[in-house]
Amino acid sequence: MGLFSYIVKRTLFSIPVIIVISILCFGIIQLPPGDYADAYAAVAASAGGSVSQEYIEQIRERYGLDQPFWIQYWRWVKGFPEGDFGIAMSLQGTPVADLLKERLPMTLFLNFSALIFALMIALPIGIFSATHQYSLLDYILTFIAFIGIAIPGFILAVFIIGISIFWFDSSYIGRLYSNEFIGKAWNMDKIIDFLKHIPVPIIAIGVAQTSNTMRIMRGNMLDVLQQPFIQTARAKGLSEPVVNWKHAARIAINPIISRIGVYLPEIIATEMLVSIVLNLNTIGPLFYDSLISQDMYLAGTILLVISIILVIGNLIADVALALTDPRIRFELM
Amino acid sequence: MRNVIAVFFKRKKSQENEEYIALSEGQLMWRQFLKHRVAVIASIILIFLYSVVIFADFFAPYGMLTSHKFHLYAPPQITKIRFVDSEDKFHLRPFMYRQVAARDPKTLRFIYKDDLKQKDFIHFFVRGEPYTMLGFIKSDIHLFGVGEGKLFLLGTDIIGRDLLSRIIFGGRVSLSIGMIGVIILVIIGTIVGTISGYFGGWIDNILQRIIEIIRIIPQVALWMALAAIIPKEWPSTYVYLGIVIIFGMISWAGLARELRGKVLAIRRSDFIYAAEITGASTSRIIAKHIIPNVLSHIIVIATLSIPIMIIGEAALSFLGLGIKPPMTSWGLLLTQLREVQTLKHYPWLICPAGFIVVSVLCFNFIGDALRDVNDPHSR
Amino acid sequence: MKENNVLVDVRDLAVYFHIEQGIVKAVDGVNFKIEKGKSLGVVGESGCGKTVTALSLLLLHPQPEGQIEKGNIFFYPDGENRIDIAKLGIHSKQIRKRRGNDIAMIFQEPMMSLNPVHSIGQQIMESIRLHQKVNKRRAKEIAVEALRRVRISAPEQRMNEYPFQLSGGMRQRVMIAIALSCNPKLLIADEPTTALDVTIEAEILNLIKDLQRELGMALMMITHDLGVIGEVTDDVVVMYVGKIVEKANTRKLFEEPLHPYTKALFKSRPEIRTEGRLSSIKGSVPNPYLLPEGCSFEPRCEVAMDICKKKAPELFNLDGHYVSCWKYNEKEAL
Repeated sequence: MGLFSYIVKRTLFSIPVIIVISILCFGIIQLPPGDYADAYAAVAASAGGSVSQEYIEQIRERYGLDQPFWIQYWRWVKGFPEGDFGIAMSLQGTPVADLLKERLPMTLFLNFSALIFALMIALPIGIFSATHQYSLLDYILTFIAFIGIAIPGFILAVFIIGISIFWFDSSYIGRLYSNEFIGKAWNMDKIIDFLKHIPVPIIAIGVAQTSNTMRIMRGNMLDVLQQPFIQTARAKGLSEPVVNWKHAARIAINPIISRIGVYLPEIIATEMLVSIVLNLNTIGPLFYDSLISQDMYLAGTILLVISIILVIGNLIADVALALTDPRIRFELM
Repeated sequence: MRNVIAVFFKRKKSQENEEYIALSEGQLMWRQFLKHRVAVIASIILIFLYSVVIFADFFAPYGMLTSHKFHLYAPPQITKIRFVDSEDKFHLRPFMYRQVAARDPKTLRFIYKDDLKQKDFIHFFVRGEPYTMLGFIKSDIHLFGVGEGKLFLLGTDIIGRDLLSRIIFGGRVSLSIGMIGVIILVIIGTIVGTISGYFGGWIDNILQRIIEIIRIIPQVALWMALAAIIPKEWPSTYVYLGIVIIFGMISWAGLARELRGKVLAIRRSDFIYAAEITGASTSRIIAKHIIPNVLSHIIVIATLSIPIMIIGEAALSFLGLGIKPPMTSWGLLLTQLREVQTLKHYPWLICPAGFIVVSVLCFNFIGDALRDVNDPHSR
Repeated sequence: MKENNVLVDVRDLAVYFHIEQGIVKAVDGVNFKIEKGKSLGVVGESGCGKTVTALSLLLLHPQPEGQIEKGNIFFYPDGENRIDIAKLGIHSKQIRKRRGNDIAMIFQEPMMSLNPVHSIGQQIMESIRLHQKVNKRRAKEIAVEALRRVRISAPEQRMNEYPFQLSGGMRQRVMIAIALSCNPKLLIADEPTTALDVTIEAEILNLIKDLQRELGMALMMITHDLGVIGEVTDDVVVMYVGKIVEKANTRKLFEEPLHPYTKALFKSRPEIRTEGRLSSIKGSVPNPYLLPEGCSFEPRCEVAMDICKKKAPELFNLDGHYVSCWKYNEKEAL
């Protein structure tokens, strides 16, 4: 009962937050001087053509770009309950909702997989590093971790591309599906093909988090191993592996779970950059394009959607923490 | 709370007369820091990088924008430096054979061959392109160069600009953005965090909500969005300033949050109450008691924020949303690699990435060491 | 025969800490015996090495800095066989068989000594199932019984509760329950009541005494509080800077403390007085890296003699009462 009401409470509290964020998002998109019509004209101009002033005004009127901020905001927001997030002016008026539906699942999948990948590798290594502190392997792993943190994801993506081109078949880089499968339904072959394409993006996205988590886990473990209850556990006669995993790691992991809320934005950010470099079919490149063309419905919605994902992610992380740490669970009830 | 003074003792030569020297906290932390050899090496590397970058005109063989028409996409010559020539004669001074450009008939790309008849010796403190360094030092002496030939240690780009020189000049932007941005971050973050933690109550509540909201929107997306705000007509220096300010204004939330926690914890300490009882004014308490205690945390977080900004700038510039030409930065230098084929044919163009990685690594090592010194866990 | 009564025989045990600044001789040649069913107290100031001594009996001393440099820790699990604990591998199977099973230990800080995210039941049953071949249901019964034995109310309920839900006194009872769940032959208690209120302290000490009698268990009580020594122990050992300075039957020690340090300890206990200053021992504990050459207590001793500066005294036997002080061996001193 306590946990459920906590979730309900949190969800209710997030609603005003999301509303404020939506205003912020929309506002930020509107900040650059000029509007979509100007951007449109600029693009046309750089392509060598020109657009008449009249046409620009038509665009303005059509999309209501000359209205005051609040009216434009309202026009955007009022469609939400019906799933209408406006239209992407830069993409021939495709409804934003359709674009998102197309790209959101893959984005979520990539982000989620990168997070799991990072945790699954980082946690055991972090534990190992702490229990074998100062050993050669610890130094090597720490060094690798440092490098991993230092190399920004997008550079790593570029780097991996370079290596792959030299050594491997380059057709697996730079996209998520081979040509034959685009637009076709999912079957076994497509899945296998997809799996072949997936490692590069996931690694590029997850590397920084892996390294970071490794270091943090190591630090947590070292802290926890100093605590008196570890000595009690040993005094019972438990073997070192049991002490390390059942007692130490069990506690050391809690701060990391609570930090998942911080990881998510970083992963999403890295994913955006990596996707832009690799030209993947996710939200990142879409966002980038929408910023350049000042397509406010598209950009604003994406920004809002990302923020909502984060709010949900934070909530899930907090619930997960409550589940694993009874102290927090009791505080909530 | 940590001990304020720890006692180190040394044995002097005389047997009876043993002396105890008490070191101040600052000296103690300095000694502790020196024990982290990696961090010390990292600091030396950074000092070196910053020195080179500050006196860029002197260290770079060529100007930032100088293009060499006949040497487009020249490969790095650092591997071509030799001491022994084709006749097995040894020269003390390093040299290279002059590069002659030609077009590969099949791929139509440039290839460069050695001209065995021309030796270009590398001299130090040579006269080269004139410059006005830092606005007032007029000279034309460069650290090294070759007289008549061309020396492209890291190769050239599509319009024949020396990559090494551009990396050195670009370093000015990449390395300074972090520094300046961090100053803004520290100022705002410290003020907000301290006020939030010290006064508590509704101020704290409001500030915390604001911080939460800022933190929810992913930073990179914010950077991108705000960077897109910068009008395209602005000159590159204004763009630079704009980016710095944007970084500072978005990233302070993390510092504010951490500081708030620490200030909150110290707030209830007895020594603060003691100060209040003796009638110290709020600003005095904050300045003399609170800030010094959290100063080390601020330094650690600041040091660890610099690499985030360096990477952020690189990412933005890479995408074309950041630094604008004619200024250049390491991220901007990597823009050419967005075309995947470029990397395949001209791999040396990825060198700026190496510099990014090295500086980020160094800052991270130093920050980590500072954190250890501040709050050792493995003791 | 006397040998059959001895449970633990520590001979010339030395534990040194190897750290950056030098070598710290935390325990420097101590000898004592713990007999079956009887209780031995170890008293001294903080830093005198009493805790390290206790920990080393289970090879739980801090590693890797701490090493057993020399000495033996003979353990007689069943009166006949003898195991030298000092020679066993740290965390080896043999020592782990003893930990929690034959020799159990409880610690000072009950809050931090219990795992915060495991329930009480889980923590007790963990110990039970480790050393006894019982199924889960039986283990639960034993655990509830253990809780009852330490006089915790509503034991079945407590099984599902967490440490942070209990008071300090109850947590310490739980620790005792865990320690006794496998009926150990020796219970080592390292300052078990230091962190508790005085009234609770009395309860816990009584509990320990009763349980010791009930189970015929030996007890090693580490403390800095002479009052606790008086309450609980049969024999006592006084430690100072890693060495034993006095060893005697508790009553004899209280009637007539011999070593100047022991005397000073007794004198410095606060009593109800109408006037006068509290007496304290002049000087301070010596720097562990710069131990004096002669007797370690000499710089603070009121009755120091010339030889005390030059040569460290050994433990002199005065009819079962051992003292490490030149004053009691005048003829050797000259």
